[in-house]
Amino acid sequence: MNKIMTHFVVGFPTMEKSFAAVEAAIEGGASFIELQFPFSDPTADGVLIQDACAVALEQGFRVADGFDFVEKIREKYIVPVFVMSYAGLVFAYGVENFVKKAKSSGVSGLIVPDFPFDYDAGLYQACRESGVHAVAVVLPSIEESRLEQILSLDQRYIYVAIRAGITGQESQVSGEITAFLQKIRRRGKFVLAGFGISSPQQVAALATSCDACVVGSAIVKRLTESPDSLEELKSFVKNLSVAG
Amino acid sequence: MQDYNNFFGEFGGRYVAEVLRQPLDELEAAYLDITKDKSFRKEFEHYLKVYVGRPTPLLFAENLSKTLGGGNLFIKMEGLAHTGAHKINNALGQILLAKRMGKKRIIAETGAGQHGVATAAVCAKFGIPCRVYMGEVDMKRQRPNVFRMETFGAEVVAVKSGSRTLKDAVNEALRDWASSFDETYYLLGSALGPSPYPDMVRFFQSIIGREVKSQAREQKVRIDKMVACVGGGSNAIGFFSPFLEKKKPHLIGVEAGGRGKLLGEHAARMNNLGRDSVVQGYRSLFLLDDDGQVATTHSISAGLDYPGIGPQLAFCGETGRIEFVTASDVQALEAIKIFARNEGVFMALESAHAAAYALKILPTMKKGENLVVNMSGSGDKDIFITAKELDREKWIEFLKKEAADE
Repeated sequence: MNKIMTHFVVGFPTMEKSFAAVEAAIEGGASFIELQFPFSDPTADGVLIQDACAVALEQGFRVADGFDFVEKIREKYIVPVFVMSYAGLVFAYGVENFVKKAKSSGVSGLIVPDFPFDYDAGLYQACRESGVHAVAVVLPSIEESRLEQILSLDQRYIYVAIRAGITGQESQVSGEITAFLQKIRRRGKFVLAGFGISSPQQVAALATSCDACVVGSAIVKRLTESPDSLEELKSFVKNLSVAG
Repeated sequence: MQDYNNFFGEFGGRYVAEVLRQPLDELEAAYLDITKDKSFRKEFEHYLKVYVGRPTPLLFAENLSKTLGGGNLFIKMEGLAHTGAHKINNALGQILLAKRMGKKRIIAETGAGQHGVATAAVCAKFGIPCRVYMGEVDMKRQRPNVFRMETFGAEVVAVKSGSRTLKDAVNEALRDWASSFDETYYLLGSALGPSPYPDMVRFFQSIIGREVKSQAREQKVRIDKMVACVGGGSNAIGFFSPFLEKKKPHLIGVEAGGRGKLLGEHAARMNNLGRDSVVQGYRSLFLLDDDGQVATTHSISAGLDYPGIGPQLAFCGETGRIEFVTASDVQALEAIKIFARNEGVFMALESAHAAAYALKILPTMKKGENLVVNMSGSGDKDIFITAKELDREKWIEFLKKEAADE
């Protein structure tokens, strides 16, 4: 079985429907849940996730709702939950408070792409103190010396964006990518591979080189086009987890 | 020359996703190179003279000084720079840098369109293809500039996300750059965004302040106060730049007071209206809602209609070196009329905010004291807004007739 991390925008298409979608994914075999707390300026996201965030915000999403959402999942399921958001939302909440609240809500790790380890406003330190994983995002094109710095951080998870650009454009899985994933994995890191992954073929090509594949825009796309087809979502996740 | 700054106090920094780290590191290295390179400076100064038309005059506003009483008023005529605003200084500096870096494509964001026009012009001059991201709302209110950019051969892309203004245009340019940076240079127009942009944009815009300093010396004028409008703040930081490390003159930044004091009715970030946060790659003061989301802003001038302020200006506000005040939409329109009638100077809506405040304080100054206001841009681009506000009936009649003739 492949480990799949499914990505949702909290509050999209509605609060209730996003919760139902998370449940469908868990029933379909998702090993990790990544929840995006919508931010007004999602600079790393493509149109699909931008629009989903805008919809959630229009309906009044608040950070407090996001943490309630995590708690609700964790009351029912043992699946690890990772929260992804942008620096602005975390900073305005207060970095330390955000991390503490994440911990008490049952969040396993935080993915804040625009808080890299050396411009993190104290995120990594706060995570260490609270026992929350701070997940660094790297790319195969990263400079060797910088990669070394990131690998030497005392953090277990590494998120590999398998290509440059923003979310939602299809990625090609090359030998170069799988070699990069394996290299990081050999350093004892738990490797999450994401960006542009939507098909069982891609998952099959990546599965032996990483610890989990992240599927994001493909899920948001399904929820955009047919927000009530939860059975289909469930079998979509199932197909990904058995691919190969 | 000031040393390169990554942070200004706690503001600034390079808060970007890993994908943008490499292009910014590369840009920083190239920028630091040219600051030490005499041949670059020579080339830059050459084009500032022959293409931009520098120096721009420092004009004594004799009539207003006489009429209002109090101090003497001077206008730094940046609006006379080629393409009609100070934006060309930075666009020129960065296109020369992009050329040195061997980049094959330029992207830019624009609000009022002045930075877009300046970028499109230098791209045409130096033969590099150019794409400008512009919010849909701004495209509508600054239509003449869209036409100018397209005439220069730029591709203008309408941004339809978020508030569809400058902030969203920046987001879209960042998204483009995240996959195109190998060949593409992001020519950012204001002194904000991740480092090295705030520092670099000030470096190119500091020509404004340096000229003011030497022109004042030539005219034997001791400057007591300087006033500039502040959106992101590139004209202000360039205008103030040579004076920041000194105690004098009194520096005043004028933000957009819009049409009210409530969140969403203005674009004033200083004086406890903005909150400390990290947005679009830099830490500064931003207009946020109570949950940390970036708020919508309002200003009659597209160029000031932005929720963040350049990090160095935010820092100078904190230290007290720069005083920040506001001028409203109505006051800006009034100032346009007054400067046009009395001095034959047609201010851009942005600059008119600074002009409005200058009019307010001039009578309170002592005789013999001197105030310089920066006319960052000319008002030609705004006629579709100003004509509608200042001479509504005649203008609407003209537009109807134009449409009917077609």
